[in-house]
Amino acid sequence: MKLPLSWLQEFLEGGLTPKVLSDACKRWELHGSDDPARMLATLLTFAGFEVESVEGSGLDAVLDLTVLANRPDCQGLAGLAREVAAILGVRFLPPPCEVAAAGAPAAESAQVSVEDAALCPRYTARVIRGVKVGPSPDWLQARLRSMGLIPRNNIVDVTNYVLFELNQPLHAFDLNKLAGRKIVVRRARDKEAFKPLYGELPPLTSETLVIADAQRPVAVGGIIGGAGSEVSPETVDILLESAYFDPANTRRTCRRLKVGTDSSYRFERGIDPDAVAQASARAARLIAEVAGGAVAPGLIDTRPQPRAERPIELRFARLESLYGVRVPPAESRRILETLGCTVREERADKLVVLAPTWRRGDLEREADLIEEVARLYGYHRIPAETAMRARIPNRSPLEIASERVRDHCTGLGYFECWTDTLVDPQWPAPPVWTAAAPLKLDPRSVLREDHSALRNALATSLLAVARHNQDHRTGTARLFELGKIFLPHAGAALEERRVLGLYDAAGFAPLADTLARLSDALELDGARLALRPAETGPDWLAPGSACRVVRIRETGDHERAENPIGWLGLAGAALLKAFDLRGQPAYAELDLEALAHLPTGPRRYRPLPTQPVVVRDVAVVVSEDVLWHDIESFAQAQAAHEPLRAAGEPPRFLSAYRGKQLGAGRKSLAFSVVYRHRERSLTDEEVNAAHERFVAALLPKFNAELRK
Amino acid sequence: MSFLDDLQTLRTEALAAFGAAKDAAALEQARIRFLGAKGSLKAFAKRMKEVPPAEKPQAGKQLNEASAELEAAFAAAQAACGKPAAASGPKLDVTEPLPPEQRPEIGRRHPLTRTVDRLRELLGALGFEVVEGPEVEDERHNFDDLNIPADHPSRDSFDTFFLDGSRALLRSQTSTVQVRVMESRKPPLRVIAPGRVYRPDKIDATHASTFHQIEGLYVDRGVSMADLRGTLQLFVEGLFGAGTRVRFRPSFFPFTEPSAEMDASCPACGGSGCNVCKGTGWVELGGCGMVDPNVFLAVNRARGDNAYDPEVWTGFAFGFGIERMAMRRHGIDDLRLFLENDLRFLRQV
Repeated sequence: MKLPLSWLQEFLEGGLTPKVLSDACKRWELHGSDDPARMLATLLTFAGFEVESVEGSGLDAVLDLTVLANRPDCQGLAGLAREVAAILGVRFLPPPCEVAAAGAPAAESAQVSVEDAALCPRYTARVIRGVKVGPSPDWLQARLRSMGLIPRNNIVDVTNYVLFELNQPLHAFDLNKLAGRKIVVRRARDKEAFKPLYGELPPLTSETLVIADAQRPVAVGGIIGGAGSEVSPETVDILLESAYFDPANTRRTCRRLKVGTDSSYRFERGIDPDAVAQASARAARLIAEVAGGAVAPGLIDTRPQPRAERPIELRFARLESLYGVRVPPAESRRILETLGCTVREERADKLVVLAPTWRRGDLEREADLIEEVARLYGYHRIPAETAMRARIPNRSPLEIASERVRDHCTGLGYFECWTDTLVDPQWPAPPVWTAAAPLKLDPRSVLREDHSALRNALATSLLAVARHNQDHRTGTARLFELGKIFLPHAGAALEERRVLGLYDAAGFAPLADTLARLSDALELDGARLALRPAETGPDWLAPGSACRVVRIRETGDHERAENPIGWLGLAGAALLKAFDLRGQPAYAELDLEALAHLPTGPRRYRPLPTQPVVVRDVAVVVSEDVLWHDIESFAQAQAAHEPLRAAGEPPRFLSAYRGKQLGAGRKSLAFSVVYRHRERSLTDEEVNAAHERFVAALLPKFNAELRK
Repeated sequence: MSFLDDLQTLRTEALAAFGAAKDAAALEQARIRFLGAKGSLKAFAKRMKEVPPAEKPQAGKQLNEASAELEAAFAAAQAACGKPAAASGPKLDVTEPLPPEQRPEIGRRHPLTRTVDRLRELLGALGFEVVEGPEVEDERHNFDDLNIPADHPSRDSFDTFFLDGSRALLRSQTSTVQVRVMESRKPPLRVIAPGRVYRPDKIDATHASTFHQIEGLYVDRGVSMADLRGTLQLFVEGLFGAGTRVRFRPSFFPFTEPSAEMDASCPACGGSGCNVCKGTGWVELGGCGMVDPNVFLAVNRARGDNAYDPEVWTGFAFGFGIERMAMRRHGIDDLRLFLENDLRFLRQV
């Protein structure tokens, strides 16, 4: 909104003097300036009207400021001037609105009927006869130009002038072009014909409020006038419309017809229905001045009675309690009165106040009055003192687990990613958690097609990041993310689930190790994470590599695998191809909330052993079908029967070897078995004997041979 | 040859070598050959395994004696050489880095994680608990209960994405979590809600359609704007250092009344004016205000009780943009980098 200072100061008694401005700056503890424009800009910003720019300086300057949605009254110069008057503590001078009338009453020349009073609670019409349409005087043209408008003719220019001056949109009709000299305010008929003054509109519907004459619509109410009834150089008699249109319907209509004007902007935000007549008088006075003509006596008015009063109480104690500052009651009163409020009653503990008509939209409750007093007494007075008591906040299991996961992954060399939840619907949708397709956005909402679906797995987001990094050759991509995915459930609410995704270009073994060590990082108690081959692997993972990540309970020597917490494997060929990824990256995705709710506990101390261990290595050649886990379990089980085996010391994996000399389908697994006696050191012989017993049991069990 | 004989030979050779060494270098060579980690004496120690058990005690004793004798002879020869006892070790290039294969990369948290962590740490110290809310919301939580009525221009600032085939939408501000948490908990409340929000904005260096905010809410008896200013004052001092100031400028949000924009004195120049604060001396943090009574009333309606009676409870709320904070802290000029996850960017910041 543009604010030319030269125009503004006409509304202020005494004008905008440097003294008045610098005094106000001092009161508000703001920096003064040599330039009145800058001082005013600072004052307005600190009253809630952020000044974006100042063009020029001194009283020729034009400020460009932001008027927020709660101050529709400030979409006009007079409204802003009232605000400035309140800030500066000077008197507001309203513009002259008296108009001399002559000739036959207006009611003899025109008729108005309103068929939908809900959409148009008040409509007024004034008749002006015998105008001479021509260019506006220079002062009027200059004022319009300073607001960014192009002058057209003296009649239209006056209506625009009053729109910006008094925040009342007006429309001037050529009275002799209105069929029947009638105005009917009604809903349009479906697809009723209407040609706007400029541009094109979609067909009207019965939701649209139109201003019609006896035959056809001549304007869309509050939005745009029609061709054929507008003021032209031949116009002699004018019907001047000044009305109030329902904000919500105006807004809906604008959206439906995809149109917006300076008029509709104001009606959407709400203008002052009680000021409609005065604005009409102001415009008529100006038209008579610049275009001649006689203003007919009387205003045709469908609802001349003002709105019922609604007193509001302002309790001083409540003001102080919310604002945090004690305001002398006389000061609260003064502030509200400078804003145009009327104080109905003053008591020891409160004021009873009526909001001025132009503020009825936003001053309705005590909280609204409190904001006005606080704002104008000054936010700078609020002390920085809190009575908030000390408290140690709770940390949720998800927070705690997330921290541990992040520590673990970054420590092992993975970089944390944050990827967009809105993904490309053309991407493959691996059914990591659901077979249902990703939910899509309403096409009318969509900004970019490649960001129009809500992801149902994290995999594709991380693969896309891997692809970006591959293209830019940024190094081996080892990535992780704690991200949200969206799982539709038939007949139930949408589930938002937080998952942990890991992408490892280094391959399967490093990623598997990362997951294996996650149990420690999470401080799991009585359980650990393990990988189990997926019998029928999900096909987004390469067959043979796909595993479920499960929780293993360690109750004695009995294992029970629970529901899978997630998946791990080499990324499947189809996925790699879709993202053009090279190499053999591994990918894992885990349910973070499930991980976070696994039981955790502080690590338990066990007394340090007093005797040294003796380690015996062994390498066995077995079929590829034999899993390390099987051998490990066997060794653990066997330990129960072997007094020389260290309790709680599993065999230590050393290496796996596959080579021609072993033959196809065979591999060699090397590992160490750990022996320890609780009280004494062991002799070579007894260890050898125990080890031979172990090997003797191991070989037949796995159809194995010792590696030579 | 027997162990003991060989040992005797060794002793003789070593003593001769020490005695014959002309200078420190020669002496060092002799030391390495006989007393070093791969030297003769060590080799003898390994041979102990082969000694028959009966002879082991004697062999061991001899070995120890030989060891002691040779060490003493070396020390004496060294002293005679006049060089200090500390042998010159291998000369190192102290600037030589560890080879890449021995130097695994250490990962990093994402800069937005670290920004949220800082906020959680500071606000956690003030007693704020982290809560989360859904990203897919309904109109009631995203608009109506936040005092943003239908068909009202205040909805313009909060344009939203809608889901296909339903009235569900992607939340446009984290303020929705205020309503959610008040629906499920009774006052007093002190929570923060970091989270992802979505707005159909054009995407460029300073605007994205997916971004992040953090919401704060404190509801108790007698909460005032002084509590708000005091809390934020403590917060910015933690964020930017002691001496940082906070100021309010009046503003408008549908869910707060009074509303304000809050600024902090510029961390880079302390308020005198610089690039970071564009010469103003102040940086914008975000919006704040006292919870609008209509929000409490809407919550009570949803709860079916009067748990948040505005006559008894008041509260303040605030909201910051996370990307903006991270950009200012690290001098990042393009918002899109956060969701792109280029490793070169992630390694830098």
